[in-house]
Formats: sequence, C-alpha cells, structure tokens
Amino acid sequence: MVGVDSAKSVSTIDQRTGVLDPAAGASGMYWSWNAGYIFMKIEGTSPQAPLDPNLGERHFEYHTGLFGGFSSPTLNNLKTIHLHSHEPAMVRRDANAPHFHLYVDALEIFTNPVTISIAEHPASHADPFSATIANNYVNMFVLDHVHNP
Amino acid sequence: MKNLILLLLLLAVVGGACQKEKDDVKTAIAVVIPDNFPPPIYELSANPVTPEGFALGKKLFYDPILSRDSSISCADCHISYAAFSHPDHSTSHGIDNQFGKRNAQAVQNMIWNTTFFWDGGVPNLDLVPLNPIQNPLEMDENPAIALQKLRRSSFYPSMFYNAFGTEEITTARFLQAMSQFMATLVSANSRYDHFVRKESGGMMSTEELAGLELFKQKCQSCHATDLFTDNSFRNNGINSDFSFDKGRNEVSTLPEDIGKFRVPSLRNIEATAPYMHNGKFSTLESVLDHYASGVKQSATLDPLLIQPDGNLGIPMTADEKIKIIAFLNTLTDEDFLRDTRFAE
Ligand code: HEC
Ligand code: HEC
Repeated sequence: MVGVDSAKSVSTIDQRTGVLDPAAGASGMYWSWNAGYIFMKIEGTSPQAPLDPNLGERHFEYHTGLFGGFSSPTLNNLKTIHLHSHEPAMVRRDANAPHFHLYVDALEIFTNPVTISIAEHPASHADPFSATIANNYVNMFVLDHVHNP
Repeated sequence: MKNLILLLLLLAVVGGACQKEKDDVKTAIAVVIPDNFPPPIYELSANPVTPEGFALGKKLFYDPILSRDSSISCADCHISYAAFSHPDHSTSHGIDNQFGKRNAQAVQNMIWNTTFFWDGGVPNLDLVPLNPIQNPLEMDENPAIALQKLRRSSFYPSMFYNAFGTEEITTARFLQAMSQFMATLVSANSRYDHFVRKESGGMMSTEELAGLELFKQKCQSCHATDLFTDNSFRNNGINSDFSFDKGRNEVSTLPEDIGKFRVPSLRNIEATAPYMHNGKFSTLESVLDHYASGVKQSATLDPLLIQPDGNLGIPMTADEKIKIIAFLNTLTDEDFLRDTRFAE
C-alpha cells in the first residue's frame, strides 16, 4: 500500500509510535489540521511556477494524503500496488530478511498517465487534484532487484 | 447536585513524601457527567484524569514554551473567563501579531465533541494540540522541538514522573496530559441546567421560558440536546461566497461541503462573542437579525433555512428575538467562568 492505511490513520495516540509518531517519526508527514498522514510530499522550484513572494522563488509543492475520512467520507488516495520480481526472494530462519530494492522514478509523478502542468497547479494539498497526483505517483515504483541473504 | 461521578473523586495529596510542584492542585479534580448530557465521546478510561495529569496539562496549556519563540500559550487565545474563547477578537491573534482566518472556539465540554475545529478536521481530543502548535499563524512550532524543550526543562520531567510514573516525555503522554486538563473543563451549571435538572437556583422568568419554547421551535433542529449542537456541518447562510474559507470542504474536498461549519454549542454564549467561524457578529442581537433577515443564498445553504415560500432565514418578530436572547443568557455558567482550578 502507498500511504498509511485507514486503521492506522484513525488509531489512538498511544498507538502512534515510531514512524507514525506525529511529533517524531512522522514529523513533517502529518497534517495536524486535517488529522492524517501525508503519503507523498514533493516541493521545489520550477520556471513554470508563479513567483512566491514570501519565498522569493518560483515554488511548487504537492503534499498528497487523504485516507477516506474518519467519520464522514473524504477523497481516498490510498493505493495498493503489486510489484513483480523476476528473481525469487528467499526467507531463511537463520539469516537477515531479503532486501527489496525499489527503483523510483519521480518523473512519473508529473507524467504517467496524466501530464501535470505546474503552471496550472503550482500547489496541491487536500484537494480534488490530489487524486490525479496519486494516480500518477502510484506508477513510479519498480522492483529492481532482490538481495537474498 | 445529583450528578453521576464518573471517576472517583481524586484528591491531591498535599505535602506527601514525594517532591511536588508548588502550584499543585489542592482542590478536587473530577470529570462529572451531568445528568442532562448524553454519554461522552472521549474515552476517559483510556486516559483517566489524575490530579498530577491535570496539573501537568494545565501547566502546558498556560505555558508559551510550546510556541516557536515562547511568546504565546494556548491560554492567550483561550481565556478562562470567556469559556476559553478569545473575547473581542473576530479572528485569532497569533505569533508575530499575525491574524488567522477563524474565530477561536470556546474550549468547554470537549469530551462530548465528535470532531474538533470549525471544519471538524481532527477526530480526537488527543490530536488537537498538534494543530495550534504547528499552525504558522498560531504557535508556529514543530511539535518535535516543543517536546525537546520540555525534556530540557528543569521541572517538566518531574511533572511527567508525577503524572505517568517515569520522567519520559513522549508524544502520547504530552497529548494525554493536555487532554486531561481539557476533559475537566465541563460547563453544566448554568441557570438553565439547574432548571432542567430541577435543582435549586433554577428559576426562569416567563420571558426566558417563552424564549426556551421559541428556541425549541426555531433553533433546536441544529443546536440540539443540552449541548446545543448536533455536531453536524451546516451552512447557515453567513456568506454566499466561501472562497476565503470553504469550511468542511477544506478537509473533505467534497463540493457539497463548501460553506459548511460545525454547529457550535451555545453554552456560555453571552461570554464568547464575537460569533461565527469568522467572528462576523459581535452581539446576539446581530446574530438573530442574521437568522431573521440576513441569511444569504448559496448552493449548500441548509434546507432548514429555506422557508416553504422560498424566503430565506427563520421568521422572528422583534419580541421573539428579545425572548430568545433572554433564554440564551440563562446558559451562562458563572461557576465555570470563575472556576479558580482552571484559571491561571
Ligand atoms: C493564536 C490563537 C490560538 C492559540 C495559540 C491556540 N488556539 Fe485553539 N483555537 C484557535 C482557533 C482560531 C480555533 C478554531 C480554529 C479552526 O476551526 O480552524 C481553535 C480551536 C481550538 C479547539 C477546538 C474546539 C472545538 O470545539 O472544536 C481546541 C480544543 C483548542 N483550540 C485548543 C487549543 C490548545 C490546547 C492550544 C495550545 C496547544 C491552542 N488551542 C492554542 C486559536 C488558538
Ligand atoms: C440550519 C441549522 C441552524 C439553525 C436552524 C440555527 N443555527 Fe445557529 N448556527 C448554525 C451553524 C452551522 C453555525 C456556525 C456557522 C458559522 O460559523 O459559519 C451557527 C452559529 C450560531 C451562533 C454563533 C455561535 C458561536 O459560538 O459563534 C449563534 C449564537 C447561533 N447560531 C444561534 C442560533 C439561534 C438563536 C437559532 C434559532 C433562531 C439558530 N442558531 C438556528 C446552524 C444553525
């Protein structure tokens, strides 16, 4: 799954530890105003983006989250992907777990399948356009190879 | 008072063997569930209120250490004598003298809230403080850094020890302590409460009783139960264009939620002006004038505010408005507004 599943997204504070701790592991990847985790965050400059007077640069930012809502429905950007491996992954009791090396092509966020115009969409947070971004970034993962122990 | 005491009445041990803070709670702290309220939503059994947890939560609530430059505390925008709202401020006044876009809500009876903030963006009281701490217009601090500051302080570790048994300061403990303080902020001793619970001090005048009847007819469909909210999100016609603040839509992204805000409680309404999410009205008279003749049309306007003949709003005569206001003023709970356990 790409994102934080809905059960974890509504869990009580004592269960939000480690990477799900909003003031530690998930710091910067949690929306405190729209309680939920940010699944994908990309920010940067682009000649196509409008000038941000506060930052003094042509800034764009996409923060994508939304797990479907805790009481009433919201957009749901959770995605399940299946990655195929050409080599078997070995699990041995006496050894470390196999390592899966993913190849992630960030360009897919902007192109696959929908070409995104930064000029038109310099920012996206919790908004309908985030669905387009999520439908794109879900295509950026390739399982490149497996390191067996 | 025949209230059900949910938790054991907890008394702070004064001058015990263990080292204690000077400003320890010396009065009883208990979360009392009033007879005329529905069962609370917040899971008190998962975070039972103790005198030490309450003292820690209160200390944090009043401590500007949680803001980036230690200039502003929760209590700067949530003032006890105003039912922990921000009097005279249409919208909140935060760090570096910046103004937010919404009116600071009262913090009272929080354990009955199903969601928090005007748009309901947060589902659980324990997650609430992260929002003002992080908000660049409010306290503008990274919660991870705020916790570091607490860990380095000369007294917070021992307060966490007293409240939770070890000095460890975790996100969960920090937030649960704040919830313990906020959970005790129960307001249920207005004259109206004494009236409905048939207790002494519950005298209502004929004008106030007439106002109560009118309120039931005209307002109660949204301001429901003795909490005076049905916890739903609705558009009560404050604006026709909500592009500045889309309300519930900002968290749900759904077009049908544009312009909808959580129906607020009306408890202590006399003390919590200005009114509405944007602090548009400074008097109850102007609120009632709004419902009678100021409701604005838009795609999501609540159907209850569209009369059968197509006119907008809730028809009310001048006399009816006076009576409703007389009733609303019986919701003022002086005991709560002056409670020294909660004030700084
Ligand atoms: C700069 C002013 C400001 C500060 C500081 C501030 N708040 Fe608030 N508070 C607000 C505003 C404004 C709202 C409504 C915000 C919204 O709906 O988006 C609010 C809403 C709330 C609510 C929601 C009440 C409800 O009925 O949903 C709670 C609880 C709360 N604040 C607690 C706190 C705590 C705890 C702190 C400190 C960690 C704090 N606030 C700091 C201004 C402030
Ligand atoms: C259709 C549902 C509905 C009805 C009916 C209704 N209200 Fe409201 N009321 C709301 C909503 C929603 C808000 C918050 C709107 C906002 O801030 O934009 C609100 C806000 C208020 C406020 C401001 C509270 C605060 O803390 O800022 C007062 C006072 C109020 N209503 C009184 C009344 C009275 C009196 C009546 C009957 C004459 C009434 N309302 C009828 C939905 C309703």
